[in-house]
Amino acid sequence: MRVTRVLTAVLVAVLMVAGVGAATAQESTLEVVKKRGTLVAGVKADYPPFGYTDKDGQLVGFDIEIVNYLAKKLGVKVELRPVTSANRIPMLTTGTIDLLAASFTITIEREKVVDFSIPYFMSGGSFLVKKGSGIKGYASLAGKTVTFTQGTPWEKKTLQEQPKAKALVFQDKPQAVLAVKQGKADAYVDDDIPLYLFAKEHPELEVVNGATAKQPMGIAVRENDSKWRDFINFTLIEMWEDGTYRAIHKKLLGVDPDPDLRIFPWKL
Amino acid sequence: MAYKFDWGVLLVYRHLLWQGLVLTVQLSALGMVLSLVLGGVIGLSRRVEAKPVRWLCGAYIEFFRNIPLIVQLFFWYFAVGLEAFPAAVIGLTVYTSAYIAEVIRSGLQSIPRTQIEAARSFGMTPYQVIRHVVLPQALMRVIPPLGVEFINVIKNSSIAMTISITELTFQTQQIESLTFRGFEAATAITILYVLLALAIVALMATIERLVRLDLRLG
Repeated sequence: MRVTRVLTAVLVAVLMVAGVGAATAQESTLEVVKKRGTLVAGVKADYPPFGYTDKDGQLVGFDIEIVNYLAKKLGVKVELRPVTSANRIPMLTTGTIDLLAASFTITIEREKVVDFSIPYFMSGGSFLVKKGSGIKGYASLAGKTVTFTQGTPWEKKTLQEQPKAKALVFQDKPQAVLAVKQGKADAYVDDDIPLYLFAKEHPELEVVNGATAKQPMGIAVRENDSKWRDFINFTLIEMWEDGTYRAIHKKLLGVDPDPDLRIFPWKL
Repeated sequence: MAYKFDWGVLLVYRHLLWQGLVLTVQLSALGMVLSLVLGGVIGLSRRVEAKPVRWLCGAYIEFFRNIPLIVQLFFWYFAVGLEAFPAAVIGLTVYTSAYIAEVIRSGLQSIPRTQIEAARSFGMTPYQVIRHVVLPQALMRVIPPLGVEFINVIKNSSIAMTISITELTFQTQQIESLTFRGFEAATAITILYVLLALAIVALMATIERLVRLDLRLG
């Protein structure tokens, strides 16, 4: 009897140790990446300015700059894996990539399957206007001609907010931009990111924010990997603090980050 | 069939279809009348004695009918800077008139040279030859191809949506983007375009009958 009891106790102890061992054997992606010497990141290849292919066939963009910054902090090389909106979550959860920096908007549904870093970009609807137009938002569009591209929600939204605006609808973005440039329309309402790129190309135009509340984008990692997520968060804060974020924003979007958006406001 | 049709959206958005139809009819009617006048003048001018005039008309035809209509509309709207509706009317007119000029010319050329020589030998003046021998016969022959060109004007008028004209095709896409009911909207405009085209066919048939009666061709 005593022997059996001792054996049982030993067995339980062994199992407990093994169990703890199994839990700690699941090492953080942070260590995996450091050991491997390469950071494998999922990025978009077709979504300027976040991730796209330049004329030399290289993957470049906002998300890629962030990945490069993270890799520099880790002292490892970067391997970029192009992802699509459809395959990006499985690529991450199955372990093919270490992190996902692919213009990924933080939503509750996605939070259920992956973990997000702090937001590193905010995107929403904006107005493209001529510099000095005095247009500040929907209120100043009364009696003005506003242009849209067909199939976007902005026409409905704008006419709800400002019923006195006159709509001018085009099939593609370049024509809407041209209409503002030529004074055929006073403002062009669309997603802010393409508008930033247009304003960068046409110096006489500028982007005015405020067509909708902005939505946050984050870097996604596998669930329950606190060490890895902390590293990314702290590095993003560093990036903001040392001015790298601002420089990248300026380089790729042509303007400083929106002064109202303190993306990482909580470093004490 | 997985798609469930919901024809109710057409009733809800019938005002959009109606507005689009009105614009399409206005645009097409203006385009037809103006391009018939302009195309007629140019087609006839290819038969005058003065060589520079003939050459100029030929150049006009080749230039405007070989440039895509969408490019011409962008030119009038963005480069010249006209308002959308005048730009669309001018673009359609200039483009279609080049085709109509060729229709007119082929009608004129279909009259055998011997007829003209015979008329001249009867002592008719060149004007009389054109008025009494060439034109009546040519007119009969250009009516069917003119109908084809007019139907093309109706269909081409949909390209005006690229310069912000909210015509029938535009409104269909508008209904689709509001309701995601693309098939219903597309069915509706298919029927409307067919009806418009059939109206042209009926109109041309009537004109042809009247001309036949007038010429006593039975």
